[in-house]
Amino acid sequence: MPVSAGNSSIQNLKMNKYLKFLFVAVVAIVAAHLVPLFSDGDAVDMVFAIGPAFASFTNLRNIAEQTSNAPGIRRIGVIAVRDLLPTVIDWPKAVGPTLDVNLETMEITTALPVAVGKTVAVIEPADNSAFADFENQGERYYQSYKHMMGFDIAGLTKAQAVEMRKYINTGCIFFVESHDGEIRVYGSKLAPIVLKSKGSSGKKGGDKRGYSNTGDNDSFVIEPPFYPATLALPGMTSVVDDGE
Amino acid sequence: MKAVKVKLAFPSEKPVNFKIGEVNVRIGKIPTSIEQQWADIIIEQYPGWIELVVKKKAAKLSLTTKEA
Repeated sequence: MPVSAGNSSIQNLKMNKYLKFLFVAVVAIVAAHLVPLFSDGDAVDMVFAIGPAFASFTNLRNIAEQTSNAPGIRRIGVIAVRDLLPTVIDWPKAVGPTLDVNLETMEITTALPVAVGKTVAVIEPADNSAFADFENQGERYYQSYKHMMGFDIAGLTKAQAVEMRKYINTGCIFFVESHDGEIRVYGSKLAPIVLKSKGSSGKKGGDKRGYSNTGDNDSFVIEPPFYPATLALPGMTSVVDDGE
Repeated sequence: MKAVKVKLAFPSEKPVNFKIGEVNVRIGKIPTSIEQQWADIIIEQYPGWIELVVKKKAAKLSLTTKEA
């Protein structure tokens, strides 16, 4: 073996030993920090807690002055829960060890777990017809949240009839976009909203001819969470879609 | 901002629009140039939806001459 090649292999051996020592040292440091976390009873309770920890009140006040408080709904995105990934049991989860909602900001932290190629459809409701509400439901200490929403569609065309047929007995999650651009999520995979639709021909000039749709579900643990701007939403657009 | 070329990783006649905040990122079957930050977000949050289009390097020319 040439001398230079021998020196090189000795250097490699030394380097391997040094890297192994470095790896063991890093593992030891990490373990030293983790062991106290899991050996302390309180820490274990925090890690495996099922419900949110009790949060003390802080100040609550109206919207800031010189800020618009525009009511109403701009658009609604919708997806059938059947189009979500079958491997995901529920979304967005607000209880359990792995949450999809940050309860301190009420923002969703996990992107919509939709199957590849399935996208959110956009509903453009008739003017001033869409609403999205929530309320505490139940007597004292039996309370939970009820989510309710609805919208009208003007017209009774064949194309609309084809589309509306798909909603019957179909669990949905709705992405309700208000005029300030915020999107809130109504319904979940395990507690979806099923629309109830009513078509009306109208009786005389000036009457409304079209669909009226409402839906609700209850026993939610939080009010509808916000879908943040940092998460992508396939199928939605940031402006009215051009129909492509 | 660095741009990358991406396309849908599954067959689809229609392009898919990803709404990221107030930004529309529309990706179809034809390679489209988008900002890398949007590509990173979509690849991280929706794995299997899009793929990067990498430009193939030209084959190196051989400088050897054929012996007579």
